[in-house]
Amino acid sequence: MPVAASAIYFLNLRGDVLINRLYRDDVGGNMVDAFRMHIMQTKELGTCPVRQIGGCSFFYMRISNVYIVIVVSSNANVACAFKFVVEAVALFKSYFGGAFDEDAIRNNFVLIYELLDEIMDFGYPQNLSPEILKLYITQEGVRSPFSSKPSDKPVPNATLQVTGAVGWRREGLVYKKNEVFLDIVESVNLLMSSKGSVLRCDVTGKILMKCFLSGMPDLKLGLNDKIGLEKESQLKSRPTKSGKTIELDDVTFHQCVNLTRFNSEKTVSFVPPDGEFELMKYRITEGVNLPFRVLPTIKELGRTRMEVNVKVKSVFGAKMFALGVVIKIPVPKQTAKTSFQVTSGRAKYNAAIDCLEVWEKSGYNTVEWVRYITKAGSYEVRC
Amino acid sequence: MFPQFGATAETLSKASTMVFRIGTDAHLYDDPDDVSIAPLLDSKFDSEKCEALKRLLAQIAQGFDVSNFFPQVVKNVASQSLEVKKLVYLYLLHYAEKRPNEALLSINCFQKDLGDPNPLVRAWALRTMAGIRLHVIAPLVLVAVGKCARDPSVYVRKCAANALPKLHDLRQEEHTSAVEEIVGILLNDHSPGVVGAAAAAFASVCPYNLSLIGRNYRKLCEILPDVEEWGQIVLIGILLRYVIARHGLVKESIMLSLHCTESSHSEKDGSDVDFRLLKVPIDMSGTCDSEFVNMVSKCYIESPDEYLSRSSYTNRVSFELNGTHFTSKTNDDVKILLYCTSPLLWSNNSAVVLSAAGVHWVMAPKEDIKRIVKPLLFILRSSNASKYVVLCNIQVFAKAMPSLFAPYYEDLFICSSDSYQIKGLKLEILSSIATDSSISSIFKEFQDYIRDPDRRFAADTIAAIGLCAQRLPNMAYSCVDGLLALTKEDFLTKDFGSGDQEAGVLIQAIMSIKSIIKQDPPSHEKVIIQLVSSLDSIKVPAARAMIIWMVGEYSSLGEIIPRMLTTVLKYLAWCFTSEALETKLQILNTASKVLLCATGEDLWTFKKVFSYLVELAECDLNYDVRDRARLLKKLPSCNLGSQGPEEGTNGLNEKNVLHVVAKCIFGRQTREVKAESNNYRFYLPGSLSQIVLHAAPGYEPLPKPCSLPLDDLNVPEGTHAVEKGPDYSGTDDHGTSSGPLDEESASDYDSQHSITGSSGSGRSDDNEFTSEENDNADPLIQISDVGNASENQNGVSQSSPANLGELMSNRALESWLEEQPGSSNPGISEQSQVCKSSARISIRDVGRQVKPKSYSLLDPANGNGLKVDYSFSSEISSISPLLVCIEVFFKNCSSETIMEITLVDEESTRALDSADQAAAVNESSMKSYDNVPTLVPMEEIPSLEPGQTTRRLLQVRFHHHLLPLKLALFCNGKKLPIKLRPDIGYFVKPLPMDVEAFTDEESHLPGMFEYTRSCTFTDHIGELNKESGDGLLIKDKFLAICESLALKMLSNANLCLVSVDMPIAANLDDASGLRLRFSCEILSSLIPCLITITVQGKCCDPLNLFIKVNCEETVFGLNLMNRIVNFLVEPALF
Repeated sequence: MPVAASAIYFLNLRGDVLINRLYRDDVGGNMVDAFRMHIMQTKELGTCPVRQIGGCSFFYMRISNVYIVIVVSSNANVACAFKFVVEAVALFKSYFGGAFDEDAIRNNFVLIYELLDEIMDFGYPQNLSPEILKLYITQEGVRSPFSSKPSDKPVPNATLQVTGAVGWRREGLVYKKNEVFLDIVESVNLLMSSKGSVLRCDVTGKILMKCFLSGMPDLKLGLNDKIGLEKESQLKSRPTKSGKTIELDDVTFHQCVNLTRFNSEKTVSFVPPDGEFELMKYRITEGVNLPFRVLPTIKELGRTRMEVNVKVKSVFGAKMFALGVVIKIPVPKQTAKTSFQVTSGRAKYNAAIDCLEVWEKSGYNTVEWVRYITKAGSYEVRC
Repeated sequence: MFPQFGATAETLSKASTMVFRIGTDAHLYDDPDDVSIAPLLDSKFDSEKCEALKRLLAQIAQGFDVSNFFPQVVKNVASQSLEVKKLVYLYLLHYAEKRPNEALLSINCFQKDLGDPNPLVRAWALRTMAGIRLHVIAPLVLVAVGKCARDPSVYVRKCAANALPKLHDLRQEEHTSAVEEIVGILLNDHSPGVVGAAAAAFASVCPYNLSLIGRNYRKLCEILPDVEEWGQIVLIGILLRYVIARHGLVKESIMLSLHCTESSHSEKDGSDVDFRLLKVPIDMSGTCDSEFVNMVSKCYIESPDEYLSRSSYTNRVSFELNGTHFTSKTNDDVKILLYCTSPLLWSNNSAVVLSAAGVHWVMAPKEDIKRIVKPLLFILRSSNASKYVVLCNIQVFAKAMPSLFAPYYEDLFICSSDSYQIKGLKLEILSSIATDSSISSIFKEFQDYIRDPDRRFAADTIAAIGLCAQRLPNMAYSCVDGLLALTKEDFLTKDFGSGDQEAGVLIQAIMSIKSIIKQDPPSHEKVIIQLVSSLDSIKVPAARAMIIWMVGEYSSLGEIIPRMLTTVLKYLAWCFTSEALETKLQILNTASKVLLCATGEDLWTFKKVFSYLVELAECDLNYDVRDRARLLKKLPSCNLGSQGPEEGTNGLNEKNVLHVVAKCIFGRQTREVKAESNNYRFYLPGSLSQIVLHAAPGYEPLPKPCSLPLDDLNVPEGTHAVEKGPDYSGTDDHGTSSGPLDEESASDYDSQHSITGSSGSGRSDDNEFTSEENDNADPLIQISDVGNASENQNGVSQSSPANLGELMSNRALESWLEEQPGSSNPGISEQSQVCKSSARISIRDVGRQVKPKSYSLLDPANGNGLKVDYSFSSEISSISPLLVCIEVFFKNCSSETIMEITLVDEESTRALDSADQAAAVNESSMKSYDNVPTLVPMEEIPSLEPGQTTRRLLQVRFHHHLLPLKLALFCNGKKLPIKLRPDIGYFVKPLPMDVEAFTDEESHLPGMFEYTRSCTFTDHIGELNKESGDGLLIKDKFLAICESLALKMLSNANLCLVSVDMPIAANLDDASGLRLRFSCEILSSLIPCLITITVQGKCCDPLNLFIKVNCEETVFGLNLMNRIVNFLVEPALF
């Protein structure tokens, strides 16, 4: 029950086809018209990501100003299709160096075609790891005249990489300086009711790793969670609670982590891919200290005016500080004019905001190569 | 400041920008045709070709048809530059199906690339070749895939696995077994990457062939965590199906929770005891809705047809699962599957988590299911779209087993960024997992939701509150209070006229109240009173109708309601005229209900109000209301007493009947519409069908428990079968004691042949047998000791790498090619073990018996009495080698003379189109033959008398050796379209050669150019039976077989019989080892084509034939082989 996508379309917001790639011949070419007619031009757009029209199923996602549509004619694993789109976009981003939007697609359509050919075969998703794909899908354009034998140079390399036993790491890497960088990025999420009680509060963290190591190293990561290795205390999941152990509620690991060993021994061991990757994600719900306290008050001044007062108070230590804190205040659709009074920072009115969120970013360095970053959590306060 | 932050991503992207020349193709995309593309394609510089191809690609991307460049693009497939090659592949894949003939031109190039030392090139070639998906090249692709499945490179093997579904998709039955065999090989691969792709192939090629999984079950389980994530998803599904088919459901799992209680009554053995112990705590805590679960599990297993037949019965057929269908959690296969899938719950890929959760859901013992909860909740944090999918699945889990998710209700609270669908799902889940302890905080949430600006969502929330109250009766009072307050509040806001949305909320609120009251009407009497009293303020018709309905339904409930009825009815009668349609109807209903139940002093008032209402209604504008009024006027007349004059005559009897009817219509409580979930159908977790809630095409339920018999698994692996082969042929009837007899008969046989052989004139000049009339009736047999034919065979294969040298770079492939000969073809290797030596004979009289088969071109019925038959002639055209000679027989079956018969080409213009050339013709030769017409004009038949037959020789050039040629037949001035079907067997001419030349030539065409197939042959049986029945001269069985085989070959193809090898040492009954060689060359290109047929089996039984074709033109060779197999299998006509 794999995806078995029959076709993939990239559409812009007007519905023009940017890229179309048919993998199977069981859907007609007019499928994209059906999508435009029955989904894009109706209010349904953006509500339900799975739609069935005339025997075909459409799975679609909007990414910046592009719709990516997967057309499927038979039963398929939907979760798999969406995961594929997400991963494919991440892959494109890493190729383009940043944004994935209509312009980027225009600029790189050949590359996208080549990638689509590689990452999906007859509708079945294939390896999407950018580290590996970059080794042999290179849009080098026209080869310069001085490298007269084009097939000689890149090929032997690619052979090794593609055929290696470990799918995500090529053999024979050598670095003068073997380095590992570890970023622990955590974000605090909060859902607060209108009465000021915390409904839900958790920290989701991810460990980003950047490896420049020679050979085929086998790494082991110790965590100070309850079930994990208590003895290794220099790697802390939460700096605020040093010394104590933390229970990790949920974890997910990168493909390279040996899950069987984690299951039996509770150690995170892995052969890392070369370069940057996300090693694991986790979630903590217990013992979360909120970095901010947000106190909103709303006063209605007559029938046409409203006053919103948001007080944000930081509760973290004096040595740390937050960068780029954004506060979004939703206002009724009919809002005509706003005026601001801010004690610090800037404010602007943007009519298209629909929720109150506080974005915060703070960072601190502890060890040379391990960083803890708390980042971009979403605070949602109902009022 | 922390400059390092975010640097990682940026540096990487910067680096990639430098390396990959990102973002330079936009001008090509925007104006793809501002430069003329054609000259660029023919340019000698790769850079210009690239640009042209990119421009074409841009047009494809935007949906323009640029297939007219096909021939030019295909030429570039031979380019050395990988870049160009890749772009050409992209183009080819897009248009190959539209232009099959030109696409075929690229095949030889792919064949060459398949031998490239670079695995990337091999893999891409294979992928593109398989992606072209033309029926014609399917056999070729199959051969290539078979080869690549044994490639040393993991990547190529993976591509081979990926090519299998493409092959399967062409639906060519004859390849199925071969494809399945390759799937088996790849599933057994030691590299996890290949296994993942093989699993996908298995799922699409042969999902029912679970015995294939059985062989490697353990290994597949163990390799599962290392398989690529996409492969994991497929593999998990396959393993689950296998375990269910093999062992059935797990007794301790949730799927059988209801069954356990049922079956435990019947069970009487010792296991009963602990079984109950296990069961009790679950029942006590009431963790799962067993009926619901039962239905879910039933849905998982039954196919859509079964579901339909089940739901058509009024009584549900009970779930037939007897004891044999259970297995226990202690089963090793179950254990290992659960053990290997549980780490996957931590996977980064949400789809993998979902699949693993699905396995645990179906297979895991109830106490272990909870481990799927947290991972499922965690993947709720991925993209919005995935969130929706995950929630759809959680919904079923939570309904079946609310206790699983009950403690985590907070995770399902709504965020402002959720879409409407997600909100709805979350509400539904929340209302099904609410418990007495969590309900208070859930209700607090709900209160927030009700104030949501999205009123649709608010209405849904109110519905959810109703559901919660039904699930938790303790909460009913507070729910109803809250809802009542809401109806009043909403009434206040409604004056602002916020429209339909607001009305929807109100209606939903009343609906929820109604459903709560239904649970326990007596305790909610006050609620009804409050609602009725607010009737005046509620303006929404649907809401009013519902309240009025409640009045009628609960009119006799409690103390207060009956007392207020008169007032209410009067009020309703007063406002009747201003009501909307549905309210009017409801008022009429209510009035009659009240009237029916009324007793005592109120009766008179009710009667008056009722007749007033009926009168009003009878003149209503709406016919529905008028009809209702007329009906009601009749029905409750009994309670109205004798009113009209017409009533009196009917007497009491009818009144009673009417009363009963009225009671039935308006009478007591409408029957509970119970468990609407019975109409639900559930689908396997993770499937599309589960999300769209109907069986999507290709949806497969779980296999029937224990449907996979044990014997299937005991089938030995391929190697065993091969080892058994010779065994079987050696010891069949005679047993071991027949050794001496065999020897004797063999020598007998030997001498007999040598006698006849010596009298022969040799075997060199029998090549022209087709044209030469030979009067010698006796077969001329010459025995020449050719030593060990099988050795020869192996020698050829082993020397192949060296001979391949000029065609492919063999360094990288050497090891790969070496392991291949023999083992890939069990038939030949087997045979080589059996026959120790063989004799070579020649058959001389065959040519005389050859009768080319005749086909009908025109039926007398269609041709006004003209019958046209044709047969392929072995003559060779003197005009051009591209022409095939065909003998055409015209016969006049009518009673009149037919005049001026001639045959012409349908579209003579097409002959000039070089593009329509057969693929068998290579490019250079193609040009020189351009001027050859499709049909050499036939000599006209001026007139044909009735009953007369005339023969004409037609010289035709077929454009393609598979597609029929359209011709037009003119007779009597009329045009009749006819189709001439080509026979590839006559696209060749005999190529006389001796055996040495044959084997030498054969050794030059190994590997890629060699194809084998097997088939059965039965012609000889009739021949043998006929002779034994006649009792005359009993011919040697072997000779009879040879003759019938050779005859069959020669009458269906223009071949030259090179040699016939006979086994000597084998017993007389065993024809194994008989080998016939034929040679020919392709008419158009003069490329030789060698055919070897090896026989296996007993003389009197159907024989297994192994046909081997060696030909440089791969497409042609394959098609020729297929043709040969086809006619060999055809039964002979006597």
